[in-house]
Amino acid sequence: MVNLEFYLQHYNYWISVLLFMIGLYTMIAKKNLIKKFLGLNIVDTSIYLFFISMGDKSKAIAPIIHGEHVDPTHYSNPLPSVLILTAIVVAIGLTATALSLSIRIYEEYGTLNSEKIEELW
Amino acid sequence: MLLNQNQLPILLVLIPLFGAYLAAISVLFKKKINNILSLILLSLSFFLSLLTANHVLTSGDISYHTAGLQPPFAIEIVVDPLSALMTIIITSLSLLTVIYSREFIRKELSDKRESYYYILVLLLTGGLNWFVIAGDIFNMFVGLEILSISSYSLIAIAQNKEAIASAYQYLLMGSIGSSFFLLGTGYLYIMTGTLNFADLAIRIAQLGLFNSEAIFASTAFIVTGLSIKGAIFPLHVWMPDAYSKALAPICALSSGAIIEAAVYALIRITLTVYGIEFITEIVPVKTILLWLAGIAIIIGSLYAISQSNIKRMLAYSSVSQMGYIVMGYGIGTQLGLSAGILHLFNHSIMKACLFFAVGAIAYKTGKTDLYEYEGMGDKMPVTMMFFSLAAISMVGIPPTNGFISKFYLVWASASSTRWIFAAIILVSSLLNAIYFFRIINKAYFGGGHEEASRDEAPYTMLVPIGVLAISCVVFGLAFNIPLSLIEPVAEKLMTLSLII
Repeated sequence: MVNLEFYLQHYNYWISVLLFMIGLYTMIAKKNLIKKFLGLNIVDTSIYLFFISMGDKSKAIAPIIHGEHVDPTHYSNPLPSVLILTAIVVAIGLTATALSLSIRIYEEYGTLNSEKIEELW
Repeated sequence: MLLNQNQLPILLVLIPLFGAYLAAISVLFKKKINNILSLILLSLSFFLSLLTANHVLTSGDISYHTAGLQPPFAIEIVVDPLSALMTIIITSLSLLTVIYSREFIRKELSDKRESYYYILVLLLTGGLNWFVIAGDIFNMFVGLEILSISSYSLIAIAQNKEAIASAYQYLLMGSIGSSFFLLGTGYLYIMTGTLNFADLAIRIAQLGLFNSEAIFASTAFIVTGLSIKGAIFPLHVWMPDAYSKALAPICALSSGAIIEAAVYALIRITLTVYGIEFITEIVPVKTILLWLAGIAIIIGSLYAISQSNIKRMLAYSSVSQMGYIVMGYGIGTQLGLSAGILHLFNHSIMKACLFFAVGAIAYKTGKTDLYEYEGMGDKMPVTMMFFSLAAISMVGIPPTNGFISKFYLVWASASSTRWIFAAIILVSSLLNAIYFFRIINKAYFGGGHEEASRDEAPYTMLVPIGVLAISCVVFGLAFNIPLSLIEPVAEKLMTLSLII
């Protein structure tokens, strides 16, 4: 018997998996190069959600030490958020590279359709 | 001594990375300074990588922690003999690339793009060095992204329309690889709560996670991600397109350092984090990669034979050569691992030399096709001589380095009684001979002697080609030098115990 409650409690991971699949599908199925890249951004976002949601829990507070004593189990884990901050910066660099390349592709080929580009190769 | 020896490895990363920013600023004041600047900075890095290797060999592994904390809380940089060898490969190849590029780039690119080119080469070197010496998996990801973004831009910098489109294709595939790597990191972190390699191995063993599905998933994602980056068959499809259109020095640097670094990371992560028993028995990564490598060697060689564009042929040859490296790893004995890594070292020398030579010929004559090489032996005798030297090394004729590593590979597969892989290596040597001797035959005996007048490439291009071609012979005789760096690590990786 499948433990339905177990799966429902971890809905954040299901959302992340769903987004990952949508992103991969977009990259494969869409012909427009910018749409393909947006698919990649969706994949990246799903990974960010996966990381962030694993570091958090309900009613947790930011792990900042100030004055009064707080039970450490009430803190959320800051490390995944920090990692994802770095990963977001990396993704911005990647997006900038991809968009500037797609501008050059449009200048050279006059289209962003990947099938037409293959014909004009 | 002025410098603490433990701080050497961090300088290997910081000098090229900050040098890239310095180059970006200095070009505002003086044009055309970037070639000299990157030459100086990369010579310094090369010298430091030699010092690091010497230090590692004489007084043991270097472990450097940032922020005054102890690992696993600090960011750790670990240099053992193998990563020292990788930094030597990376810094020496990028140094030779910069020397080679002086004349080459001046002809191919405008002044403005020329200065961008050197900035990107410096960034690429910094990212590669970071990637190979990082002691935790997330910093490895950051290094991977730095090197990937700079390599996408470097392929697109050639500015012909095919180069831009193939760079975009490479970007899409490469970023999926990085995303998979990051997702695998996430699975490891969620199960163990740590990112440091040594600590990950300990925690996985302590918590008894060898049958956890999340760890299986992390293995799958990390291996797939790095296989895309390392152009391991069947995930190599981006490589022939990207390499046939990119500038020759970039092909040499990518083929000699980037895909090698990705395979190095694959070996390092699977063997230190998961351990040899996990990837042999529980998730058969080794066996899968071994068979894929066997197919890659044959298919890559067959594709290479069917190409007439020489750069494209060399790219398919890289697919088959990556197969050799992965095969050494997949055989699963200490001898096999040493043989694979030795071939990694040798392949970066041979393939960089071949790409440089092909680039020099294209620079002088504009010829990129096999059937146009007639009389090239008379026209550019020195370049063709070095090309032939590297080509016979690729085929594996003694006394070159290609012979040594292929001999080791055959020996390793025979001693573990995997005769079929020994046979594959021998057959593929024949196939290599077909496509390389075809070029040599065309160049020396293909006619066209009459109209050929001697017109050699400039010295700044001949020197890097010559250095690499002569190292093919030198390391064929003195193969103890790379092996002395490889063997201690291969032994350590194969005997890491799971029971802590």
